[in-house]
Amino acid sequence: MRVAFKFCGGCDPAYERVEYWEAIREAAGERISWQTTGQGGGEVLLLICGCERACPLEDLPAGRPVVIVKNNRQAPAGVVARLLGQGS
Amino acid sequence: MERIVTKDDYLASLREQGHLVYFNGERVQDVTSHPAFVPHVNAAAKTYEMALMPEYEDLANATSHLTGERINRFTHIHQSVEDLIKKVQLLRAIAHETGSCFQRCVGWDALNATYMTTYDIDQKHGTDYHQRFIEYLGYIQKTNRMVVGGMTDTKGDRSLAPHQQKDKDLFTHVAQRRDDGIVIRGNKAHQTGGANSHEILIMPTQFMREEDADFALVCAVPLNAPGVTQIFGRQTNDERRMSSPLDAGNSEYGLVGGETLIVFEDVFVPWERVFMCGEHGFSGLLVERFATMHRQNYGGCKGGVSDVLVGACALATEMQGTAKAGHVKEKLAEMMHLTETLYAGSISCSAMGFKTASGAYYPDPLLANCTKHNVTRHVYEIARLAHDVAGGILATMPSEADLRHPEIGKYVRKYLAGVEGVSTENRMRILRLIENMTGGTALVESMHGAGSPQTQKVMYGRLGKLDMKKKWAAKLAKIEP
Repeated sequence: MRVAFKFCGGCDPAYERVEYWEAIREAAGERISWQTTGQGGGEVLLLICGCERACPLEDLPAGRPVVIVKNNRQAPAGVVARLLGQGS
Repeated sequence: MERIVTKDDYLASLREQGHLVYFNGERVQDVTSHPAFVPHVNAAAKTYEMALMPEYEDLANATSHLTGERINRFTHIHQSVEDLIKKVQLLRAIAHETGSCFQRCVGWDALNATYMTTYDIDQKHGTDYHQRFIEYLGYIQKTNRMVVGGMTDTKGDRSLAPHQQKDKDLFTHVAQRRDDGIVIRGNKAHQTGGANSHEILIMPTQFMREEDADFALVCAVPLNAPGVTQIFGRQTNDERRMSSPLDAGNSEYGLVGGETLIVFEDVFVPWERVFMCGEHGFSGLLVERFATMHRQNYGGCKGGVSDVLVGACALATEMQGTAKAGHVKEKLAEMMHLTETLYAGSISCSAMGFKTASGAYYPDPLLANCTKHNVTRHVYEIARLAHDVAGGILATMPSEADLRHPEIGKYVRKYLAGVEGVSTENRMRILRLIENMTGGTALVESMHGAGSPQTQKVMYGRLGKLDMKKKWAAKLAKIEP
């Protein structure tokens, strides 16, 4: 499954977004291939936001499923399960 | 009354409801004509009047997400960040008209906090509180009734939990469960606008544990329900309203909100008006949400009130011939800086607001708490500067009766004169307004309204992201984790 990932602006995050994304990536293993939104494509979009405000939601293009994380309280494997559950 | 639209409707609705209110040891038959209450009634009535004014209609009205109908914004559930910002803008605009608290935000915040939290309770417990609440909200939006948000219990011995109190009534609680509803007992203190509201939306006063489940209570009660009694609190110089409009300072709108102690003596509440009953795990969340939304307000309303105070001080200095002094200009500039800082806080927590699971929008809680915390400081500093530029005459000025006295009035007019062309009476009017806005009750409200400073400080520990701050510092200092 191909997943595009995007971070929020990171003005004042409540947790280490990159560390968390890396943990998600590790938990996914080979089940998911990752690409930035700039690369285009991806069946599902993972939005990694630093707080509840989740600013990127305001400009989100429609058309593909989105999984949003606003904190690191969920185990990375749980986020992977949400991503895989959104795939076709 | 089916729907309250105008100020006259509002006054008539208060006279119709015949609720039980006491002031200074006497039963008040009509709060709309009693001089202790009239200024507060006028201030609250502004929330109705401004909704009808073309120049304020955009801020003062909203579209109900329940019905699509145009409603008074004070009954609206915030549907966007724009709604959160408009809330703050509306509060500042009304404060410019009243120079005092207009009371209706507390019920508005209670409606929003209960809307969000009943949704969450239902998700966890499979209850139907949210639907019940939506029906109640629809009723409030349709009738445009004024709701007071009832959170603060008197609490008795603060070192004891609610169930440990010798007198359980020190915290509002369920005294009896019946097939058709519940019977409640207890009290709510500091109820801003209680005497001139139609309903109270009761909420828990604090986080509750399992053994305090009877105190985890949210319900709506008409204020004329049997068993409800209100006792109106005294305010600084309130006796001046009885005899001397000039000495009252702001005779039309008073100062701060006008608060009551509301007592519930075996009050029956039908189940359709009960929105939390024992779900203690959600009491803390509801308190935090209500507090956050109420703290969001303070840079709006206190910003607007401070605008009026800055204007009053500028006029006073012009009347006294000190307006061009460098230190006076500098102090007025400082007052404006503090005022805009308050407003900036309210706008920022609104701009950083977000959507909750219920669909309602909620301001950033950390920024909202910082805003209110600033109010506990800046409003005092603004008042200090007002006292500085206005002069000692604020504390020593003769009365209106002296001004109008046939024998000594000439002395008051002669010796309290300022710049040529300015009447002594006008100078006295503006000085009394400053006195009214900066003394006693007016300041205490800024300290404790929406929660005392310590309640804001505890939020920094919870929401202040200290771990991230330490990481950034350690990284720059090149300290290995």
